[in-house]
Amino acid sequence: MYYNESKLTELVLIMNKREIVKEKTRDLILKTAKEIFSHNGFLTTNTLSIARECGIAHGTLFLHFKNKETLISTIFKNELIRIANELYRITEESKNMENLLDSYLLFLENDESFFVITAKEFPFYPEKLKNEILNVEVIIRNFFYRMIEDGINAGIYKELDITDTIAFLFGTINYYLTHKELIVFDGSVINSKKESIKSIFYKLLQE
Amino acid sequence: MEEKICESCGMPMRKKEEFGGGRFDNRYCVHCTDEEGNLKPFKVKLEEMKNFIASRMDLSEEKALQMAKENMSKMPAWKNYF
Repeated sequence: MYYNESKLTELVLIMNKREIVKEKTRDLILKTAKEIFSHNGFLTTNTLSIARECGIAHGTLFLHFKNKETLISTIFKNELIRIANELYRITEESKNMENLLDSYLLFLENDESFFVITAKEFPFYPEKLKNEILNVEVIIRNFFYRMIEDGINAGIYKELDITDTIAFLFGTINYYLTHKELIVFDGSVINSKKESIKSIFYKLLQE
Repeated sequence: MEEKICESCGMPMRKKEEFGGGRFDNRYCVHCTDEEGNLKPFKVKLEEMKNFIASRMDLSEEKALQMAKENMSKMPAWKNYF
């Protein structure tokens, strides 16, 4: 025995503390990176400026994320978990398209600068990153797909091509995000357009 | 109850009917298994995954197939196929 019980307890506590510090650093990197990406975009931001803003060594950043792509794809995955849990809850509890669309638009509005810049830069992302982001969108779109499918089966919505209908909705949202500066002088483009997005989309489903 | 993730497609499984064969101890979800809860063959799953992605995103078959392969290559159930 190299350690008596109190030594062991001490060791466990030190290890836990290390884990906590590691977790906190990881969270700080993610939060800071998201803020910087939201202002300056992903393409022109380098990992050194993120590390500096965090007050950590450049090398420390790579202990947590192997490169800039991993960093942004982790941000997207975290965002996905947040919105998917909310959309799942709505699907289970209310089965209400209005709540689903409201919740998704609010999610975009609350982090609009981040989604605006990623919508603009998306065509220039490396293919692997593009695929990872598309996969996030597959899961989000699936909530809408299922809700429309259920509505058609229940006779609430007319028979329509669900894939095209969803593409129409997400394409419109993407257009507003990509061309935000052309549409609103300041403030949120999603906020200014959400009522028309919603009313046109419901009409499309029902008429 | 702790949320489980399907080891074939990554879908979160919470309710009984979301687990393959309606059994909580199944590692795979209802979409990745047959009626008895057994994992579907690789080719069948790849085709289903491709169609799923294509229908949600309005993508070409080729692009959807590429994404389906990329997704499945990361899943424990299919690691020996890549």
